[in-house]
Amino acid sequence: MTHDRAAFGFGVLAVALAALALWTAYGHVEWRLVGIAAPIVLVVAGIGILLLSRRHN
Amino acid sequence: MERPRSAALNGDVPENLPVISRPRDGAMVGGVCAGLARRWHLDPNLLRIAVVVLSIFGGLGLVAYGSALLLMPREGQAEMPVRRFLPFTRAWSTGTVVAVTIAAAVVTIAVVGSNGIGLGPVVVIFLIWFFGFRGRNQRTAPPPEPTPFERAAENWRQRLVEQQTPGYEASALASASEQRWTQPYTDPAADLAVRDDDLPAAVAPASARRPRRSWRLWWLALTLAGVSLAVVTVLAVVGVPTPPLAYTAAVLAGLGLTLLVAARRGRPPLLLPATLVMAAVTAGMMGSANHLAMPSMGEVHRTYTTGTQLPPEVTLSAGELTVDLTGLQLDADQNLVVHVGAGQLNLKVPDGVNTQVDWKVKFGEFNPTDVANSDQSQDGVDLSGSARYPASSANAPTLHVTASVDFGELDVTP
Repeated sequence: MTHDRAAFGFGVLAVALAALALWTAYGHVEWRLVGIAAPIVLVVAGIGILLLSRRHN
Repeated sequence: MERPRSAALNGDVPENLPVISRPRDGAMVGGVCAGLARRWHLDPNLLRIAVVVLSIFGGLGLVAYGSALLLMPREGQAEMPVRRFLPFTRAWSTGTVVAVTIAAAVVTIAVVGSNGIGLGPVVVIFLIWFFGFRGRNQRTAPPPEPTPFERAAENWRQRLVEQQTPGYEASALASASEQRWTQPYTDPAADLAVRDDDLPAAVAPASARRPRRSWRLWWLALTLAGVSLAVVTVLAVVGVPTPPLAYTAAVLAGLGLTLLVAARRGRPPLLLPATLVMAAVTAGMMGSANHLAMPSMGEVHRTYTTGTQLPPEVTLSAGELTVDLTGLQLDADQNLVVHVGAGQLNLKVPDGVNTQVDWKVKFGEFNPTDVANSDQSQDGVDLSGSARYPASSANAPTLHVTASVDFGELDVTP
């Protein structure tokens, strides 16, 4: 079964952006924390895409 | 002998095709970049990166992509999508439709194109890596399935090659008892008829055509977006201050979560474009909120003349920041924080206000251009100090400026 890597990658980014926007709307954003979380989200997205790219025989 | 093959069999676009179409195979979102890259013989990833970069820094790429999406028909279709969505445009000429669409795109850029996303560099790096990764792992498209005539011709060519091979006669005599095929022209009736079992097995393409995608997951997207909106609305009703940004973020969260589900269940049509549009709207609203100190890059010039204009903080992640306060007039004492991560900070202090500058440079140079503070000019690591710039009037209010540069140069000019 093939997985949609584009959907996964953009889905992760969309959820992360939505979370940041909600944080902005309801509180004061700690950009230092965002600076730490952003690379982690990207790494998680990358690992997820990597796993979804594996061929299943 | 190399057989001449038609352009279509080679995977190229026939030269007489009147339009640039959007292929389904190799398409990431709508197939615009894949179609243009195929027509112009480019790497589609380059076009995708260009679109993403132009979308983030000003929104031009998003509008251009949307315009192309409206003008470029799907592969095999002749009608432009804009004519399907807006039936009254069918009476217009093709040139008029193209001109009106481009004009609409220009107007859209003029109205909403000024909002950028400060996190752009991070997203660009991620997308370059993402598409580069995809490009390395993307298998080449399978060759088109040959027609029965081509398969018969290939079979016949192989027979001729076998007959021209040295030693064919001997091997043919030795294996006469187990002859695998009928000698050509010994039975003309059998040769004229092309039987399926006589043809070499066709190579089954791995994904000759994508199955038609289901719209069913849109119900999940609408449900999640509705639930998120309901939660935000309830918060607003009970008295929690809820800006419009919360509503767009709620819808974006619903669409994003549906995309994550769609990664396994199959992506419904238009879900990804809708999510990207909602993400652009949300990011634009975030960027337009002036109270955010979002990281930014480039050459920035800020001029403040009144106390109400003066923000509490002006920051730049990288580049050159000029804060011009020479015409500043204050009614009361105020504070200002100015920070540059890497680059140069030019601070022009006011003449009519007493100014106290507490400066700090982690690695770089501090350079006051006035004679009174010229003794503080220095370069090195972990530099700090304080400079005073008295106003011409003794009763003038005081502006306390905290200026810092992590890596670079800090210039203060009275």
